[in-house]
Amino acid sequence: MNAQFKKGVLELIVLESVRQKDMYGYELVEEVSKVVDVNEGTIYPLLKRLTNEHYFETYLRESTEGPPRKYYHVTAAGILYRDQLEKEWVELSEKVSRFLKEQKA
Amino acid sequence: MDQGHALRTSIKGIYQGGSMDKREFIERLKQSLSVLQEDELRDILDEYEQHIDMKVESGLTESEAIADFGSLPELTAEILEAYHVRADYAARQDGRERYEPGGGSSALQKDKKGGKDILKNGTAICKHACIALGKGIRKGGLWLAAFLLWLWRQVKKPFIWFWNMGKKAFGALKSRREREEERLSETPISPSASDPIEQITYSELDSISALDSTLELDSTSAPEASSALETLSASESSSAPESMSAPESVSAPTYAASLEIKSKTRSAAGSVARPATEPATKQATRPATEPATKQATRPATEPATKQAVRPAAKPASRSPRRTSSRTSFSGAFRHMVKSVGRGITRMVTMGIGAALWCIRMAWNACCIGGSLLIAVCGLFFLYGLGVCLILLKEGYPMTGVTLGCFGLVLCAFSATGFGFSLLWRRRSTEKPCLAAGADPVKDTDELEKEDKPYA
Repeated sequence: MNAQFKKGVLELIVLESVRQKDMYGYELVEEVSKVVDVNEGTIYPLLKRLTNEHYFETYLRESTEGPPRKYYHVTAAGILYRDQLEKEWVELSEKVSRFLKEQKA
Repeated sequence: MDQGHALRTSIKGIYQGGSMDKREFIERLKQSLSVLQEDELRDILDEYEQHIDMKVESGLTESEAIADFGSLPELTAEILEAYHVRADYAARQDGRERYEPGGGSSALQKDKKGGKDILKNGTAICKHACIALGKGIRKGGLWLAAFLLWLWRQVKKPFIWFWNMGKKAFGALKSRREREEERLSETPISPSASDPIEQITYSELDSISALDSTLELDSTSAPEASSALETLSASESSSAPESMSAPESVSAPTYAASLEIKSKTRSAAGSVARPATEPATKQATRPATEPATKQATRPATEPATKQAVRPAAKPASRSPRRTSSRTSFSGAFRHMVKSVGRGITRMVTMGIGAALWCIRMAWNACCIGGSLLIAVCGLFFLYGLGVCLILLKEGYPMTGVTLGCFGLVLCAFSATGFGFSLLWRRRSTEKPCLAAGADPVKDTDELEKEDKPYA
């Protein structure tokens, strides 16, 4: 997949993933990798940016398999931002699909 | 899938210039992200370390886990972008060039060019600032001089008013004293126990004659006296022997003339102001420096003289007697009133002098206090100017503030100098006034000295 496409929709995928349930970094990377083939290193900077913009908040939870893990939880602002991104994505995809269909026709 | 992952990992490893373990990766990432704060850096490194550990637990090697992160510079750039930090800045912090080929050298060239531009602009700004400063100082000096001149005139006005008032008061006092002196000199000397007419010599006849012209002679006594004198001169010229006719040094006509003048003087003095404690006949028949020979021949002529002079002298001698008590009482009263007036005048003079002294002291205190206060402010401004100059040298945009501080320093010290020059000018202007004798204090002293004879 084109890197620019992936970069554009990556925020939406991460927000939706965390909205479903609180996740830690590695778990989130695994979840996103199921949807798009993404460089694992890019997820952490994205998580950091969304946290800095107050769409995520973090907390530590003890783990039986190792050191405590940092979990990400989406905030109300994050949910609103996610809805906005979804709306834009749907509009864009519909327009592009319609355009492509029209071009084919 | 596994083969594809292994291939991708190997390609990434080749792209990164070889495999590296977790410690090396963390160390290099730490160096790349050194621009971030310590706690943020620790947080990110923990995340990546944990991710590598989990990958290792899932069965991958450290190198394979690290290779999944992609290129380290790209990873660093993405992380820094999340923190809104330019990646090239971080690269420069690491001592590397920018990512764009040739970008570092161009940036260096830009920096050098910018430095030259800054130097050129700084020189031009300094030049313009110096010119503007010179013009400003010149214009400001003119305005300041005009303002100080106006202020000096405004401040001088009340002092000039006070000075004129004091001068007027002292002038009036002085003129009154002069009038009194003139009046006292015009009035005859107070009578003594002996007859003052006896003390008049022939040499004083000229002055007496001069005084005679100012006095008004009694209209009734003057003709009688002249006729008596004519009789006297006739009898003297006919009966007296040669040795007794006149003093040797004085001829007969001259002596007769002197007698005439003396009789006129006596009658006039008795009628004007002389407290006549002696009879008029005595006045008429006693020449002060009359020779003894002449006195011996006088009884022959005395009856005629007495007949001639007495009717004229008596009315003149009675009225001064009556008025002597009245004049002495009025003189005492007048003297008392004068003393009281002099006392009041002296008190008023002293009050004006004290008020002037207080005003002068207050003015000097204001000048000194204000000047010192402004001088302290000037020192503070000087300190601020020094700080601004240091900051300006360090590159801070402090040109305006520095110029402002410089102006304030100039203003403060100029005002201080002006205040002290005011004080100095007042002292210098006092000397000519003292020399001219217009100082009220000196006038008071002089008046006190002049008052002593009256006391």
